[in-house]
Amino acid sequence: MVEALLEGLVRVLEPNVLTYMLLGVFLGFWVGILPGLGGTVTLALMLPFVYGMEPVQAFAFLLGMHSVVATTGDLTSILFGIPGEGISAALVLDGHAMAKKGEAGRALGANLMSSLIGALVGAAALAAAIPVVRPLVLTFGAPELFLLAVMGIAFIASLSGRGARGLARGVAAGALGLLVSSVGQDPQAGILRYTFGQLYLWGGIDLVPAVVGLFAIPEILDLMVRRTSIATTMPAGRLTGVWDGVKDCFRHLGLTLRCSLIGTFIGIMPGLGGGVAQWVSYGHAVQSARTAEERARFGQGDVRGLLGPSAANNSKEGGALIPTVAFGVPGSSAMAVLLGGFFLTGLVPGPDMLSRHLPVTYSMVWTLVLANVVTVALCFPLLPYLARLTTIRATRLVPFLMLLVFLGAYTANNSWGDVLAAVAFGALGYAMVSFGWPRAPLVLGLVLGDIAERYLWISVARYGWDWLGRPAVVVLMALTVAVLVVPLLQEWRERRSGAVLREAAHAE
Amino acid sequence: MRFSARVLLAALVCVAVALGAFAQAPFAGKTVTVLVGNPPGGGYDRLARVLARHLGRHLPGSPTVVVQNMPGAAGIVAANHLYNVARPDGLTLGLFNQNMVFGQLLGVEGLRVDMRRWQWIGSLTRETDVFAVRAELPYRHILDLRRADPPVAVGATAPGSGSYDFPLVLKAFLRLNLRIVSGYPGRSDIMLAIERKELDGVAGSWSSMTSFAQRGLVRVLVKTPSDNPDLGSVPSDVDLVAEPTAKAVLQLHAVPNRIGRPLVAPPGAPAELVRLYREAFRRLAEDAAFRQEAERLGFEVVYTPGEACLRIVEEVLASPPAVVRVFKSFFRFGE
Amino acid sequence: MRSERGERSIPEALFSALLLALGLWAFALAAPWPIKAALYPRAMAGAVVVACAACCVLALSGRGEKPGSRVDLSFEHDLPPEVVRRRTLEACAWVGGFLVAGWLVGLLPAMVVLVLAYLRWAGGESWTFSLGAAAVTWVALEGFMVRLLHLPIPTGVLGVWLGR
Repeated sequence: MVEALLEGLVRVLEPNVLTYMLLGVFLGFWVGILPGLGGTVTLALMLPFVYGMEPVQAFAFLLGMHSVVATTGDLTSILFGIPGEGISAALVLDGHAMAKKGEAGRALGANLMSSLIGALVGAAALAAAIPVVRPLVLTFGAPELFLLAVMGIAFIASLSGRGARGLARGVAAGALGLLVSSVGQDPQAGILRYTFGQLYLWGGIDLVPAVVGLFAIPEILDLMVRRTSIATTMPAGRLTGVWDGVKDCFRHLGLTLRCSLIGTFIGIMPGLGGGVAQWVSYGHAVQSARTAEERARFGQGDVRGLLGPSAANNSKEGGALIPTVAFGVPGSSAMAVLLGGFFLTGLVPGPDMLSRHLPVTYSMVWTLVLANVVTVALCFPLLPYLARLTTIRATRLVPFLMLLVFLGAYTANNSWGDVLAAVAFGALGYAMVSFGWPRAPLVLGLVLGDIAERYLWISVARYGWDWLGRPAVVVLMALTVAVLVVPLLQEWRERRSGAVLREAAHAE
Repeated sequence: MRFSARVLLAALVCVAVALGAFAQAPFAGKTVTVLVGNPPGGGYDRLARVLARHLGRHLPGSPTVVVQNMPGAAGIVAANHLYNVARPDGLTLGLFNQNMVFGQLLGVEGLRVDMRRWQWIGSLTRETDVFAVRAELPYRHILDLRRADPPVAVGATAPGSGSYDFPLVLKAFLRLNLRIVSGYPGRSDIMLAIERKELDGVAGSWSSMTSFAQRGLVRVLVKTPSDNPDLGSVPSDVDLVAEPTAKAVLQLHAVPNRIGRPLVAPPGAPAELVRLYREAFRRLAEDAAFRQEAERLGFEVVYTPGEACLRIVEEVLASPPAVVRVFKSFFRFGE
Repeated sequence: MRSERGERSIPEALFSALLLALGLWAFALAAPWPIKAALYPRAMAGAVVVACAACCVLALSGRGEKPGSRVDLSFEHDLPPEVVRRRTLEACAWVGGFLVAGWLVGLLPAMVVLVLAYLRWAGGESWTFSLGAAAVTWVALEGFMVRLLHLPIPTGVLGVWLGR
C-alpha cells in the first residue's frame, strides 16, 4: 500500500499532470465565485476533453477543478451572505455575521484554513480507508441510513434557541422543512403530493433556490433598508486581519478536526446528500459550547460556527470520492459526472480501483491535497482585498448582489420556477428573521425529510420490523437520544450551578 | 458586346459567390444548442456532450454546439419549452427521454407536445432494458425465479421508472416471485444495496448496467428484444410469454428503445436546416472518433434516421386500445 | 415588526397561525392518498400544527423568551420604524420590478437597466458612474457569459411573442 501511495505521488508530480491540475484549479477558482457557473455543470462541460488522456492526467484536471470550487464558493457566503457553491448556507449564519461586525478578514482567513484542513482530512481518510472502505460502506444499509437521517433531524433541537419559545420556534421551523420536503412524486405509490398540477414541483422543492432565497434575500433587503456598508462596525477602526482567523482555526483545532471527520463520514454515505454535512457540523459546533452565553453567541458571529461547516464542506468531497471509486456509485452529483471520466479513460470503478489501479486512486488523493494547498496559497494574498468589499457602500453592491442571487437561481436548472421559488423562500426567510424564528432547522428538515421517509419505507418493505434489532441501528438510536438530550442536560446543569451561585451570594 | 459579356461574367461570379456564401451562411458563426431534459452527469447528458463535440464538424460552417440542461418532470419541462417557447430558428435541438411518447399515449397531464409533430433528426444509439440479479444467487434462468424462496427483492426508485414498472410487468406475466422495494433515491443507491446484499435484483437500461455486469456484480436474466451482441445469450421477454395481449404489451414497451436517445428539432424549424442536421447525423454515425468515444461510455452506436423515428412514434400512438389498457395498468410515466 | 424579548407579539402570533392553517390544510389534502404516501406528510403536518400552536400561544402571552433564544440573524435598526417600513417597501418594489422586467424583456437587459437605475436613483451616484457600471455589466454578461460560456440566460416573453 505504501508503494502505491508513493507511486501515486510521483505520478501527480509529473510536469504535464501538474499543468493540467493547475489549469483545473484556475478554472475551479472562477467557477466557485461566478454566479451561473455551477460546479457540476462545468465539470460536465469539461468532461469530453479528457477523452484520450491518461487517467492520472484526466483526474488531476477534473479533481483539481472540483476541489477548488468548494473552497471559493464559500467566499460569497461570508462576504455577502449569498450561499455560493455546494449550498454553503451554514457559513452565512456566523461567517456573514462576522463580516457585518467588520471581521471579514478574520472570517475569510478562518474559512480558508479550515477548508484546507477539511480537505486534507478528507484526502487522508480516503487514503487510509481504502483497506476498510468496502466493509464500512456495506455495513450501512437502509435501516442505518434511516437512523442517520433521524439523528441529523435530532440536531434541530440544538439549532433552536433556548427556552420554551426558542424551542417551539425551532421545532416549528424544522417540522415545516420536513413537511415541505414531501412535495413531489411519492416514491412508494407514485402519487404527486402537493404539486397542484405544476410540472415544476414534480421532483420536489429544489434545495438550491430555496436556500439561496431563504438566506440571501432577507440579507439583501436588509442592506437596502440600512443603506450602510455590509460591515456596520469596525473594531479599532480597521478590518481585523486574516491571520487572526488562521489562529482561530488552530485554537479550535479539535472542533475543526471533528467536523472534518463528520463531513468525511457523511460524504462516504451515498444517499445522504452533501447538504447535510454542513448543518450537522454546525449543530455539533453549537453543542460544543459549554455555557449559555457561549451558545448565545452562535449566529451572531462566533468563529466556531464558521469553522465547522467550512471544514465539513471540503472534507465531504474526499469522502464522496470513496463510494464513487470503490463501488462506481456516485456520492454526489459532481461525482456522477466524474464517473463519466472513469469511462472515458477506460477505467472501471469498483474493486479494481482498490487493487490493480491503486496508484491511480492514490494519485486522486494527492490531487485533492495538492489542489487545495495551491488554492489556499493563491487565495491568501487576495483575502485582505476581498475583505475590503464589505466596506463598500451598500447601494453600490446591491444590484450586483441581486445579479448573483437571481442569475444563480435561474441558471441552476434553466428554470424560472427556481427564481419564483427563491422569491417565495425569501419572503418566508424575511418573516422568520423578523420574528426570531431560526432558519437552520428549516433547511435541515428540507434536506433530511425526504431521505428519512424513503429509507423508512425501504427498511419496512425489506425487513419487516426486524431491522429495529440490528446492532448498528441500536447504537444509532442511542446516539440520536444523546443528540436530543445533550442541550437539555446542559441547560439543567447550568440552572443548577446558577442556583448554587445564587445561594452562595445570598449566604455572604 | 464584349463589354456586356464581361459584365455578365462578373455578375455570374458575384451570384456564384453569393450563393456559395449563402450555402455557408446557415451555420457559420452560429451556435447550436442541444437541450437535454436531464441533469448533468446522467446517460442522456453524457451522450449529448459527446454528440456536441463531434456534430459541429459535419455541419456546413462548423458551428459551435453546446449542451444546456433543463431538468424537470422526466424531460417534459424541456420538451414543452422547445415545442412552445423556444425561438424556432432551427438553432435549438432537443435530446429527450426516449419514453416520452408513452407520456402522450398515457395522457400525462402537463405534456403540451405532440410527439408526431417534432422534426426528428435521428438517433445514434439503441437501448435495451434488462432485468438482472446478483451474480452469487443460484438463479441462472429467468423462469427459475418462479420458485424463488424467499422472494427476490428488487430495488426500484419510484413508480413510473423502468426500475419499478418493468419488474412489475415481469412479475405479473411470467409469474415470478418478486418483491419490489421502492423508494431508493437513485439507480446508484440500488446498485450499492445490491452489493450490500440488501437487494437481490434490479431492472434498468443496459447502458447503465454494463460496468456492473462486466464487473461480475450482476447477471442479466432477461432483456427486451434487441440485436445487441453483448446480450446474445439472454432470453427476450417477448419470447417467454404466449398470450397475445401480454406479448403485445411487452412489445409496445420495447418499441421506443429502438430510438435510443433521439434528437429532435421543433415543428417550426426551417426545413433546410433540418435536412442539414439529418445529413450531418448520418455522417456522424460513421465518424470513427465519435463511435470510439460513445462506445467507451457504454453506448451501442446504431443509426436510425429521423423518418424511421417518426414511424416508430406513430406505431406506438396507434396501438390498439385493449393493449393500451393493459399497458396502463403496469406502466406509468416518470423519471 | 421586531418582537422585543418577553413581549407579546401579535404579528408573530399571526405568522404562527398562518403556518398552523397551512399544516391543517396539508393534513386534509393527504386524506385521499394511500397510507404509504400519506403517513409521512400527515405526521409532519401534525407536528407543524402542534409546534405552531405552541408558538402562537407563547407569542400571545409574551412569556418564555430567554437570553440565547434567538440564534439567527436579526434586523437591528437604529432607524425609526416609519423609515424602515418605507425603505422595505421600496426595496421590495425594486426586486419585484427587476424580476417582472426580466421576465418581459429578458434577464440581461433587465440587469443592465437595474444597475443603471439603482445606482443613479437609489444610490445617488453620478451619471458617469452609473452608465459606466452598466456598460461593464453589459460587457461581462453579454460578452463573457453569453458569447463565451453559453450560459442559459432567459430572453424574455415579449421577445417570444414579437418574434413569432
